[in-house]
Amino acid sequence: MMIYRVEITKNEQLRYISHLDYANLLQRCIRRAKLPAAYSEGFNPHMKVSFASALALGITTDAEYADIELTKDVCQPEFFSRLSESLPEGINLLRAKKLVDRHHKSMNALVDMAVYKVILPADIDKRKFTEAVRKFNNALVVVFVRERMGKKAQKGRMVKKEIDIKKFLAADPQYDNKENSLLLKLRVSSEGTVKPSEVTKAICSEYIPDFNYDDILINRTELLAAGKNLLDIV
Amino acid sequence: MIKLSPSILQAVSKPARYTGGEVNAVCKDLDKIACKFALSMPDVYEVGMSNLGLKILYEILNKRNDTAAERVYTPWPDMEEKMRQNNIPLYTLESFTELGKFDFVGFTLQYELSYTNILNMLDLAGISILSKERKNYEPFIVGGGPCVYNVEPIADFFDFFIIGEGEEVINEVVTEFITWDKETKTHDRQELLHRLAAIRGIYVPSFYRAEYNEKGVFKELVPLFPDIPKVIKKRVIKNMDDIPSIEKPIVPYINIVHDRLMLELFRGCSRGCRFCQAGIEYRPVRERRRETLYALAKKMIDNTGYDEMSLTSLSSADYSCLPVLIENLIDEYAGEKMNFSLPSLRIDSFSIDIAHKLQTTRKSGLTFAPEAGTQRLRDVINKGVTEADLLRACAAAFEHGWKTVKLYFMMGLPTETDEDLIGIAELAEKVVDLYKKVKSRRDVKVTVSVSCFVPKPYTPFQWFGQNSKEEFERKQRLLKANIKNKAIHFNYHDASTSILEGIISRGDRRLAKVIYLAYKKGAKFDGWSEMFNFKTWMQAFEEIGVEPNQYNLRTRDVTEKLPWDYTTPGVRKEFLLSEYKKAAAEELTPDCRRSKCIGCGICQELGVDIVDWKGNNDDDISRRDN
Repeated sequence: MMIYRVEITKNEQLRYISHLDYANLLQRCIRRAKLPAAYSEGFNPHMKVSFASALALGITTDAEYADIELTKDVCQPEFFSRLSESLPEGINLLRAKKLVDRHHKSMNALVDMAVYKVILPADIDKRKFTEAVRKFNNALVVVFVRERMGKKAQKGRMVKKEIDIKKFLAADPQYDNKENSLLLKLRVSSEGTVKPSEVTKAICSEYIPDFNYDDILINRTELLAAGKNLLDIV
Repeated sequence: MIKLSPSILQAVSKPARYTGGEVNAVCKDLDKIACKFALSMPDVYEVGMSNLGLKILYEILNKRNDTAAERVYTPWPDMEEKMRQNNIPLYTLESFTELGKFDFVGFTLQYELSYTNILNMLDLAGISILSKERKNYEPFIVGGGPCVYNVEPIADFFDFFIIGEGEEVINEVVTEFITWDKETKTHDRQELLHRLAAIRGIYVPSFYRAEYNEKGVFKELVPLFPDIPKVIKKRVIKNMDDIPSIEKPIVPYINIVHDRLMLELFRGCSRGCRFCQAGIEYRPVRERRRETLYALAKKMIDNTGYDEMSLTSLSSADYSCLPVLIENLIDEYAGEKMNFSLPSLRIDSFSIDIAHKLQTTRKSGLTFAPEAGTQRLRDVINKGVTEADLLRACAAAFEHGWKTVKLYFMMGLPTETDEDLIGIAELAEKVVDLYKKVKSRRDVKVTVSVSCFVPKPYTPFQWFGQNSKEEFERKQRLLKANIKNKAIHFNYHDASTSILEGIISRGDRRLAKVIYLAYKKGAKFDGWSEMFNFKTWMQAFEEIGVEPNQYNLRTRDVTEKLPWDYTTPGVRKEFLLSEYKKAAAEELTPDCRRSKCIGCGICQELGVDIVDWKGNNDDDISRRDN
């Protein structure tokens, strides 16, 4: 038994598929590559692939990580080329590393920061937006009302919850005027996290009421554990 | 090339329906292509992507260097709204080319209630909806698939139809188009249609005029030119091992309805159930060699990475080499955690053993289709299954550990009485009791699903008057009142969809105006119960002045000419009539596959034979327990 940790991307082509579909896609790629994947025991065997995080539909990334368990040893160059060749346009394999420590911690438990770049609509008022970011950063507390469709007993109803969004920021959001993009460094912890779209909403809602949130493009550029890339820590 | 902005895609449900780029999708440079063929099923992506016929044609067309086949499905209403708001025409998922730039747009006709979607798609593409209004630069609209044996209700919207199996004829059509395209100076559509009409299996509806008698009943279809066939017979593949099949199916990014590989074991079914249209349409039975199937399975698995494969056919358990094929597949792919499944089970313990062998992991429910509640009615429809067969099969299933059984029935079959309906409840009750006897437990679930019978063209029941909506609803209530056991779940559908299906499936050309008006009034996705609006349709019938009952409720005279007599699967009308009479007399007709010819006339008419590889079981293991 051995495990490879891979650094992969989710490109424009796959922007609109869910995390579950992305995971299925990777598993089919592993099968096409004829890599000796390990499966769970039991009545409903699953391929042993675990992800660092679940990325929302609509977000691309240069930094997705997965641990792939194999039943047999495959050397790194062979693993890399076989998996690379089976990946479709929407995924690139950037790096792959064998895990040395068999009792490694799950990536889920290690990750503490995610960095996002939000490309804003071309037609926004840059001056207004700069001002909104400045006010957001100056505020001590920004209360954001998170809305989601209720489940189980609350099914069919919109459930609202107030959160202090600043608690989840690892640094002040930075607006790049030239690129028209917003850089977000968000905390990830056992207490949860915020979505980049939620931070964008929190910034705009008061000052730019007609902002079209469907018109932004989000990319996760980094996923870090204590400041380090998940492949560099193994 | 159509570009979709994030503000559109992020505002609609399941945007991956509209973004293409899947593994194994074929993208060609359309500027270097002589024929551009768009393939469509007029339903949402997840349904359309599951269609076997389109997958086959996609690969056959894309094998040609001179042709590109691309896919297009019906946008869900939220996406349609965005497209209309932003003036985005309907486009294909490979090259994002607008549909109007294609040479052909082919629709598979899987069920009548998808017809309004076709009109809506043409409109979204900016293509003229009526074929007679189409300009020379517009695509040719072609239809094919199971509903093609009565296409009169949609004849006005299509340039031509392909009757029967498409694998060979589609190539002939494309070749003819490319030749015409090079030779023609005027690009006159009529000229190509004349050439196509000379190809066997091609029906050009505008070359025929429909006539009706003074009572408003269909009289005949008159050819308008001397050189076109009076009757169009279906195309049929003689040797299933000889034709190209699916090797590299597209792997969707999102979950589709049938999200697994499909291995087509054989085509056709000759068990002869009298209600079944597919049984006649796809005759005769033609099996693939298991060597062919094994090689196809390997290619598909290697090319896709799927972990599930369905062994598809109208009646898969009838495949003569099934045990050996399954053994070989399981041996080869056990290590790769491949799952194989059968889409339909015969009601016998052989099927249960096979299902048990396949489902070593999951024990999902088993589905059987006794179709009718009493032996008398099962004999009427020539189901050839007894209550003892069903109970034996269920006992075998329970012994193997299944505890959920689904039973399919129909109501409204010819000669049906209330006793037959109550028989459904009684049969389900017996299955529940059987479980208690076999397992000494009570945790069984029996689902009884009853659909409303729709008489179809080219079946022995094609003359039979369908039950009315009120009658169906009365029967549903009656059955519901007779099911008292809590272990039995009774499922039934709104009868009005079956009524509309009944009207359109045996309709004539006058229905085109009704379908068009219903579409104009907003009918779409009629096959989706949450979208279906029966009132819209009834208003359309009334405004056009067409009496719907004449098509579905009226029992037709057997001497009457039928609107669908002109596009035929090759069956003799006398055979259907004799089966109709035998039904009334509750007489059975055997399966012609391993007994003598029963005289349906299809093999003789089309010059084709049954292909059965029963003798091809070298390492045969005993397959029949009876």
